[in-house]
Amino acid sequence: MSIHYETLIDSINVGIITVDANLTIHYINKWVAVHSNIQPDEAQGQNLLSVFDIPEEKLKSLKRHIKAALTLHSPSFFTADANGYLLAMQHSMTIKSAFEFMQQDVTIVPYDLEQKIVTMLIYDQTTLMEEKSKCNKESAELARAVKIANATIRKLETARNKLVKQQDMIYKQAHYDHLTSLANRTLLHQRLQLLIESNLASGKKFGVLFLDLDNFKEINDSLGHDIGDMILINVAKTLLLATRKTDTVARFGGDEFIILVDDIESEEVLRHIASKLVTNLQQPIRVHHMDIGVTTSIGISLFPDHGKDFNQLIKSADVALYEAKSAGRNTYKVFAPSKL
Amino acid sequence: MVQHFSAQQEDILKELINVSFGLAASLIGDMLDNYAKLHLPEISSIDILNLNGKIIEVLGRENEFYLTKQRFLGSFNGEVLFVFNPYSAHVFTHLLLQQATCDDNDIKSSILELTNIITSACIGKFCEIIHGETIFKVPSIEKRDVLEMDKYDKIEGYDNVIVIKTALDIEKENILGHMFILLNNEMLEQLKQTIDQL
Repeated sequence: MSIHYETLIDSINVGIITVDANLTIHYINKWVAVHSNIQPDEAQGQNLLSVFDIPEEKLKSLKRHIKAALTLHSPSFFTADANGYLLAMQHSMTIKSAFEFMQQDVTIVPYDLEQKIVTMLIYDQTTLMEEKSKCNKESAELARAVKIANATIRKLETARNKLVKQQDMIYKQAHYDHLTSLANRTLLHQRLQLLIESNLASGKKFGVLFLDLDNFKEINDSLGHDIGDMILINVAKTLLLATRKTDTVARFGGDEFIILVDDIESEEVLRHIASKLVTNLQQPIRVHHMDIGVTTSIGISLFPDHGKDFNQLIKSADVALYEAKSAGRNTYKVFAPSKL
Repeated sequence: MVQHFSAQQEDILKELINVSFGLAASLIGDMLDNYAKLHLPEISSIDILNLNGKIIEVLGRENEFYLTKQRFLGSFNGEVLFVFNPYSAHVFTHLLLQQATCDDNDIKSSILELTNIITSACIGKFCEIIHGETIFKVPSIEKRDVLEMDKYDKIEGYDNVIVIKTALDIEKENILGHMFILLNNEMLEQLKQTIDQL
């Protein structure tokens, strides 16, 4: 079987142009003719520049590539990725394309070293470049969307942190005394309810210490409210230092404080704590270069012996406090049911 | 680090590459219309597993770099990579195109022209000495970032890398690039045997 090379070459999906170093065309195949709207016979003998409009920079580059191919006896490459196209040809895209001309990979291979002739093999890479361009566009859009999403997430996080801080502030305002930062009545009530519920189930005991500063009204009236407030703050600190972290120290109102002491073995423990508090609070408080002496009286009630709900326990401790005051102040008393 | 060549083999390899570099330098000088000198190459060889580490090492403080890749197939086959830092790539492009400003495509096409010449000269020489045949595939070039090395596709099918430091002097500029020739064990052995017979 004889091979018809011309038929073979005309049937392949690659453009073939043979030119010499002066760019005179020696051959073009059917593929190039179709994509360039020229007749193969007409092109032969013409200069490449009379058939294709090649910008100056690309022309210089083409001449360098031809020289490299002929000198190194090796192929030289133009890539669509870096150059777009070398020869302006129609692409065969039937959809709207981002490219005006066919995107080409062009391989320049030596054909005849003596005559300084090379063959240019042209591959249509428009579809590939179209896909690549689409991918790049999508990547850029995705990157933009990610950037916007990240900015939104950051804003939401900032808003969330602000909200958490506000919630925290609102909780503190609702549950803590603004002057001493001790628990207020609301929180005291919640904690006491919890203690009642858990100790009812476990059968354990806890104590309620009701404190009232002795003669605080006189101090307030004689030295002023500012000094009075500073004394209350100091008292609060002393109470916190003298109790465990698990205990609840609350400002009940004015110069009244309540301490919930959980998980106690006997009444003796409460007596010991009360005695310690009476002693500690006897220490003079230094305010504005003045040593001010404050004492306290304490009434003690015990769960469940002296009450099984909030009101009963507070009332029992209050009765014991009255007893302490009656006994000359600066002391403590445990609730005695017979006193009711 | 694995050293695949004996001292004697390395000397001969250097000599071969130097000859091909001479040819390449003359062509590069021609295309730049200037005197160009490719320095006597520094050669080392590493295991393919150390390729990324070596690229990071040769780039020094630079994070971004241009990477070209070109496969060659036939009785002598493998792949050639080139790594250029942005400064060298930009300087070469400016010298080649003589333009005040160069965009990324200008840089890519210029670097491809340069690497095409060096690859053809060098691999052509190797083919010549081992009496092999090879065809070159279309090269590619991309800008990469050292910080994203894990995201790029891994190159597979090779065992060894010949690392060639290429320093090109043009005018007062020193353009530094690194050439990595990736070969499998069989190709490396064939090259070594041929070198031993020279």
